Amino acid sequence: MPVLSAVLTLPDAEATLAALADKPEVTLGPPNGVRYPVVLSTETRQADKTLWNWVQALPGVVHVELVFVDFSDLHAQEGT
Amino acid sequence: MKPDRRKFIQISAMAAATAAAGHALPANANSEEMRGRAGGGVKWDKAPCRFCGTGCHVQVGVQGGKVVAIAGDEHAEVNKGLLCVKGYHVGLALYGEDRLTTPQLRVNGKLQSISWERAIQVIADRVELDPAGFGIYGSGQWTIPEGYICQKFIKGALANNHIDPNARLCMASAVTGFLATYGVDEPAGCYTDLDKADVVIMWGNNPAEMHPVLFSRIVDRRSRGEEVTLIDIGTRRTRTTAHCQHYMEFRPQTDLAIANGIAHLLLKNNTYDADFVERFCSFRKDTEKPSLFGEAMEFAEYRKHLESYTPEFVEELSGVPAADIRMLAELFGRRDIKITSLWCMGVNQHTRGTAMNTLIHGVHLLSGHFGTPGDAPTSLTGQPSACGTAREVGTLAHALPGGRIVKKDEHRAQTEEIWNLPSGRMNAKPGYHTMEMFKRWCAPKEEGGDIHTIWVQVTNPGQTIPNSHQFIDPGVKDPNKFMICSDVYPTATTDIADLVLPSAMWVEKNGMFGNSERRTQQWFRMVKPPGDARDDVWQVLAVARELYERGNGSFKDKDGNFLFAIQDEKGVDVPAWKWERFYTVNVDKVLFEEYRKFSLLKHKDLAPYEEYVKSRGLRWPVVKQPDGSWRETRFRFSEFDDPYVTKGAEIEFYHSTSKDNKAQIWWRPFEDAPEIPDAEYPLWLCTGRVIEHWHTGTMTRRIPQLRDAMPQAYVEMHREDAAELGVANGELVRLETRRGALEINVWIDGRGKPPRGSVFVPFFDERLLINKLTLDAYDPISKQPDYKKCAVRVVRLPGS
Repeated sequence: MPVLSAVLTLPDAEATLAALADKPEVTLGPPNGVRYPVVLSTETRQADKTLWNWVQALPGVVHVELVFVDFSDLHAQEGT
Repeated sequence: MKPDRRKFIQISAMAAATAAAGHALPANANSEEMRGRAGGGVKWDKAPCRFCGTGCHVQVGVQGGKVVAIAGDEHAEVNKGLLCVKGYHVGLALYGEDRLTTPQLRVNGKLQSISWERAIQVIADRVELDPAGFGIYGSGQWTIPEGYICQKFIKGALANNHIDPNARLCMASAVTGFLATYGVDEPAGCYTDLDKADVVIMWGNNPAEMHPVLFSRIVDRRSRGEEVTLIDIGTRRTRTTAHCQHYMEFRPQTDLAIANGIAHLLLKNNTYDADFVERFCSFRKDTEKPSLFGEAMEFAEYRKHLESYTPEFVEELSGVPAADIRMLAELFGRRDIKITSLWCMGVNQHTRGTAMNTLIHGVHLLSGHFGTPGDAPTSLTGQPSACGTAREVGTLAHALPGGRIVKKDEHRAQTEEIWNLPSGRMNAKPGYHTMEMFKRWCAPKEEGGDIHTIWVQVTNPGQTIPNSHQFIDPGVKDPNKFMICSDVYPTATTDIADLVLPSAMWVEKNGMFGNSERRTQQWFRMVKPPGDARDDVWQVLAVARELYERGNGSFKDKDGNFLFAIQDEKGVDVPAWKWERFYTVNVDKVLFEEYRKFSLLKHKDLAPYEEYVKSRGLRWPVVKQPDGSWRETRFRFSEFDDPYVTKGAEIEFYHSTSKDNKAQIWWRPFEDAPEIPDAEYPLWLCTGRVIEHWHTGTMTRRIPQLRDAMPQAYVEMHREDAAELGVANGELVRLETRRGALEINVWIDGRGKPPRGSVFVPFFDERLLINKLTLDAYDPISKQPDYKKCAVRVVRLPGS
């Protein structure tokens, strides 16, 4: 299922990073100031949607910028 | 997914995000190496995004003949590796389950599959029926070569000039605003202004949803600690409002009063930039019949006209507090800050759209907030090539390529020369603009309905024409009229069409776009279209050849040769009208190289095709340097960057309508909207877009993630209006205007928050056609309809 990456803007990162670190589906990259690269990797489309919504709603996340998505598995699963 | 492949994709995704977060790329890095993709079996190439006018570049990953991944292009100056939610899903737009894959002809009310050969013959028959009544309706989603070949087909071959793009519904008022002010179309500045401005004013504009990557550039500056003041002047609270320090809510149509109120105070307080005005500006007012040119006016008369627009008077008209008008005027009166104005549909889709465009330019000119990075009046466009194709190729009914118009003898003569047409072939009479074209298509011939066939390409008028059941409803269509529709999915327009042609889309074909900042972009075909779908350029070329072979003289040049001949690099004719030969030559390159000959007259110089292959787009004028390189222009009319400005002039409006190198500051008063709420229809109706769906949702509603995120349209209502009516969130109501009715669910305190007395409905949902209710009144100069305001009532349904 889709692997996606994004840049999160976290001006006050400590609590937010702790919450993100608790999720095994989330991988954080090296920050540039308050901008944190993040990869979300899930097994199902529903899980992807749930995780994405959770990240967007997470306290401390003031801005989300999408960067990358792979959906090659969708072709295989949906026969497109 | 195999673990090693998954790991590989995760590494690629992290590399892309790390780069987008602002970590510098190694100087010698290219996209593939940076993301470690080379070993993944995925081939990557660049393309501009298919959706809005921002012009983000994406990297498209292809494997097994399918697009399998999308990444923001970190080498693209426009988006610096970022994408919005639509761009991130753009690859999936190719793979909806119901792609059109074969030509279909309507027989006894039902569409039946036919061959391409038959389809081409049917179109040729319709042309021959009466060439003067055959029109093409396209869009700002046409690639540049697509728009160009249609332009040549209608204006060069048929010579009836009946071609217009849906850009008429989108940014025609921006065009007339630029022409009336500077004598030449399109913004002087560029997106760099957003990085430099101290104050950004959104005039009826919601970039947080409509141009999110551009808005991110501003939000990102704040996240880095920069101070940027954002001001939202709007008729409803949006996601943009949430980021703004100031929100000024005005009554629909009264934005003109606000602009005049600012100008009034600049003059009264003597805070206007007298030196800038003296050196670079003239004054203008309308004549009895509104036009692009009006008549000259002295400064003293301009000042007198503005006398009545006191802050208190403006407050009375608009509802914006006088203190806020003073604050705006104080900001414009400062010389120590940079101000950028942004606008889009709120200002353009307006019966006073041209006037409001010129007033925004006027406030910037009067205050001298023009011509340096960060000081710019900048209109945004909604479609990926509204500028590149509709405006620059000139696919509007009155226009010719490169800023020319059909009315001017010398412009037609220049066009005839480039197209090698017999002298006098072209027609000086403008064709029908969008609303007129559909009106005449609907009407019987004996009642003035002299358009018998419209070929619709890359757009969906069945969903977007205002007051649509009067213009494009099969119920009012004369049976002798015919519609051809080239598209990729079934739409509200293919539902009406007599002939449906399956088209290739986006990276299934070669293409070129031109974005909102004068940036021309190029991409190559990466995957094949499904079934028997074919390029729109080929479709036009094949019809032209069919007519040529039938002996139709309109499709011959003055030497008797095929007007649309395509030659390879060695100058040898290639029968590209045969589909199997179409990709044996780069037809896009051939058409573009012919088109770019038009670009010099108005200093919209384009570089050779190969320069765009190498770049992530170049902003015109692109001028050849002594060392043979090609240099783009970021800031027009400013000496420090624009090579066409005379040395020492500082600022020079070299296409000035007053022929003195000056821009025009217009006097344009507030006037009432053509339809105002009353006792019978007591609320304002505004329509617009949402972030998840692009325009009519034809593509984005096929993308599960976007469809799930925003499954259907709704009507936003103020909580107190809903309470007064006795309806709760989610309940079904009926909207009624003088033109139609629609049952739709209510959303209270939803994403957007209209004030009391106003409702909002997005137009993306083909099951809930709000444009059956909207008003077909349009701006008298631009002919652009007003989708933002008409009178409506909301009826509570029994059982609610």
